[in-house]
Amino acid sequence: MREAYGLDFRSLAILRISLGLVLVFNLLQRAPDLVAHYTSEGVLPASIELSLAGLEPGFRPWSLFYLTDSPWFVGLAMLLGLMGSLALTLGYRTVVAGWLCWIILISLHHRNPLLLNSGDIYLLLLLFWGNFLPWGRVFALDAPPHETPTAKSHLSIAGLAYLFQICYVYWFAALPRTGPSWQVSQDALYKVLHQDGLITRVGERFLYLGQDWLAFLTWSTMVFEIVGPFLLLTPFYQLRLLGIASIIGFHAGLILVMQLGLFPWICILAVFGLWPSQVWATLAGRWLQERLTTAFHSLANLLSRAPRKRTLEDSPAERVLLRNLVPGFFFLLSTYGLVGDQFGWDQSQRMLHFLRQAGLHQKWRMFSPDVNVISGWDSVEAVTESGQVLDLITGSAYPQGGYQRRSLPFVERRWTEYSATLRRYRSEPLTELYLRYLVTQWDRNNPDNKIVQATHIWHARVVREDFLLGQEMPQILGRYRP
Amino acid sequence: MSSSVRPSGRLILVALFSLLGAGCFGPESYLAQGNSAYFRGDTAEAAQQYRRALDFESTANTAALNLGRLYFEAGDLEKAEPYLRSGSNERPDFALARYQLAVIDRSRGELESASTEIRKAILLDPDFGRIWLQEFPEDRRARLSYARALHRLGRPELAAGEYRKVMAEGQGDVMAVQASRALEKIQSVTGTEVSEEHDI
Repeated sequence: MREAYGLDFRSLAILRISLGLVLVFNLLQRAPDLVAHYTSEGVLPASIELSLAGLEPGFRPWSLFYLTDSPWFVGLAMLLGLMGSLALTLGYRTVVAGWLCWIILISLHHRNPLLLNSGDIYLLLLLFWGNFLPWGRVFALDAPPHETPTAKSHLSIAGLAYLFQICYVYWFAALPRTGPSWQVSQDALYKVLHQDGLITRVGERFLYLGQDWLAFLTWSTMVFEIVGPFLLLTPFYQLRLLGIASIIGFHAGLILVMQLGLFPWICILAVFGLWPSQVWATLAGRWLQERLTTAFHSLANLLSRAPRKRTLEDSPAERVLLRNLVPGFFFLLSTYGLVGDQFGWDQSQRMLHFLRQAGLHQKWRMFSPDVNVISGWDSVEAVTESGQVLDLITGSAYPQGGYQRRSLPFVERRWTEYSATLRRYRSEPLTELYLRYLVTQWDRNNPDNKIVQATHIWHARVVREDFLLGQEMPQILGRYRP
Repeated sequence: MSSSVRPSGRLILVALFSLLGAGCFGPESYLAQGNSAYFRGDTAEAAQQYRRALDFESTANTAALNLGRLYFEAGDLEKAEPYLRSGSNERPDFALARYQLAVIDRSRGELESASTEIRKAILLDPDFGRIWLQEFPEDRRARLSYARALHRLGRPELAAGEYRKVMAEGQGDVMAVQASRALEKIQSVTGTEVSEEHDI
């Protein structure tokens, strides 16, 4: 059992290091829009967020950022999160660092849920399960010094929860896809590749393959999402490796064709912790192990860290409570919530709220039950005192003429998420806040040419079959009233 | 130079790339490239790709409609018309082309033909009625069709407003009578005087 399903300490350490680095990147990526997204001077002041009914009725989330949403406090908390992420990467006080990162991340999620995407949810879940795993025992400053890691593995309910968490992402993405595009006409990928703002230039080229090839790829995606995770559950390491490789390959493909922010990267690093011990016996594995051991020993010496008495083994209390009982309880609850949501069970609101508070409420309904046939892009058409017409999102002159796609750079993905969520909620107060923020920013930088009116427009168009150009249906989402 | 790829592996790779290549150069590829250019705003390239797709039976119809739209949006109504007409013949359910043909017919002064086309467009997608009436508010036949389409869509308040406008402008002609009857029908179903609904 341990040989088949045990997690190698070295692989867990790789998971910790890569997750830590992604956390660092994630926080740095959020930093430029810290004031806009999380403070009283941004698009969603805490007082307004808490007073808005309808975001999640009856649910009062917790967040450190509700204490105060002044910029200095948010900045300080982000800095703390950044230090925690670095400590997690280096394996310094791993348990404390891991939970500190989790608290900061979940606080950010709860503070502005309009910015979230699947990658954020998955990152938080991985961090949660990872914190119950012994991922700081090797390749870490906490590791016993001058000890070469060996092929020891760890088996616990926390490990199984982590393994099943990966499977859930694919199974529960595939199961709700009951729409005709996935099940009958197989043109789901064709429609996905027509979603503006989501597709890369390479993704556009995929459309050149034609409908038949895209139908085959649609079918392959479904097969992969259902069968692929089962490979991870087999006791044969060769099949598990095949499962890991297929997941990495699938998401590498996604990175090429779609702009999904950090989601595919997180999916790739999620399977790092599943590398079987046999990987470490290969030439590349041995090379990596040697390099990492040397690096961490050198770093420990540099920092003159006192040797810790920690060994690879858990204490009995750790084994029972931290590795099995507590994660087991959360795992059952999380699974129940996910399965219940999929099959429409009548679930207790208290339980769902508890799952949300713990960041364990998950849904993987991407492009389901069917792919949206409405695509488009956002603009904020603004007129200044001098009569200049501009798009406040880009800050440049308002585009004239026909429909033109606009793709945003990677760092602006969160704003895209924000616009997409605004469209979903169709909330006038939220749209007004968004416009007010954009106008305030412009007016601050251009005191002699202030905005006199602004309109948030969704340039929607219908995605038609057979490459027929669908009609445009511009919709006004909200107006700015001075 | 030695290669690490075995002959069987090489064969699979060649087969795979051939298949991919066949897909890449299929007629649908021209449509996709045309659309890509269209969204970039490169109309010359888009027109060239659509014209290529016109040569293939499987893509000719879509290519004609896309090409017609391209010329229509560029303001070249003369060039747009034959493509839109042939595309619409094969695909009578595409409301946008019907609307564009109505605009073209109207610009030529062919009011009867324009009226037929716009009514077909409204039947397929009532939203074209709203767009058309913004441009040509005096077109009472289109307004009557629009009102009927709204009524069918389950928007009686909005339909009632349009019927009233037809009645007010008609002074008891055939259309005004038809509108009046339809309005009575709405009021008998709802049981009350229908107030005007404002569309957002």
